[in-house]
Amino acid sequence: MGARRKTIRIEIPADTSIVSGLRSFIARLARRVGFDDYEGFQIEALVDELCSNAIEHGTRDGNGMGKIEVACFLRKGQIELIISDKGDKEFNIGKVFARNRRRIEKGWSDEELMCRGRGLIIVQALADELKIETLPKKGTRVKVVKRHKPAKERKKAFAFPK
Amino acid sequence: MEVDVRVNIKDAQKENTKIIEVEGILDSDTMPKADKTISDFIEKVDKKGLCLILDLNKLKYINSSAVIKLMGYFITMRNAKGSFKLVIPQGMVYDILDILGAKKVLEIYSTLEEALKDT
Repeated sequence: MGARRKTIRIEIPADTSIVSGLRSFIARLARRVGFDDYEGFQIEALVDELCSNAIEHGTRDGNGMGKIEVACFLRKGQIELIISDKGDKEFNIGKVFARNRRRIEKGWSDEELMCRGRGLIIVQALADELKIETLPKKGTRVKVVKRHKPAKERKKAFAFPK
Repeated sequence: MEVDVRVNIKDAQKENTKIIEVEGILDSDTMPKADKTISDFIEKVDKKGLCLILDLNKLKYINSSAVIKLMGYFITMRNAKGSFKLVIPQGMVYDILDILGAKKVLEIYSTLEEALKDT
């Protein structure tokens, strides 16, 4: 693939069994624009967590009949993903981020250990940019950007973003 | 064809120690299958004083929903006065657990030999 931006849009049913094939496909495309195998894994994780969240929280009927849209914009050394759902749940993303930061910094209680909702922690740690928009009755749109970095420039430990 | 997930329960050749080896992928699609085997084993076994080692050396991928299940095994074993250890080499799976703060909660070893030595 050259320097020009390539766009792919896929609409998938709200079915987690489809996510594994989709994340592998997107990671393979990312490797073609300069990401290495390790980053490919990180991109798989981003696609997985965002699609799983959209399927779980963003499909109105909640019985696997809803749909989500995944848009993928590729250029050399960069991938941008936009995952959109039509869920009608409203949530305060600032509160979610604050809760996640507290859990990571202070540790998890037993109750929290068994709570769902950690996908966004992975997304926050792995993405270079993250933007979440929730529109009442219209759904949620999550945009992440990931840029290629040579292995020697990557941080060894993950720092939770402030 | 590549294996999605495979769970092997092994005898550790050491008193009160069992090894569960998980190979392949642990995600929202495969975890229910793996969880059935692991949870059935944990439910039936005498947990008091038992050291359960989950060997993830051959695991290629894990997501957040699968990590929650691992936390559940840890809590079950700890509450029954047993112990739970994870074997994960440095790499992608280890990094996901690191991001989620699992290192603060779980006993993690990079090789099975190290985990067995510490039982």
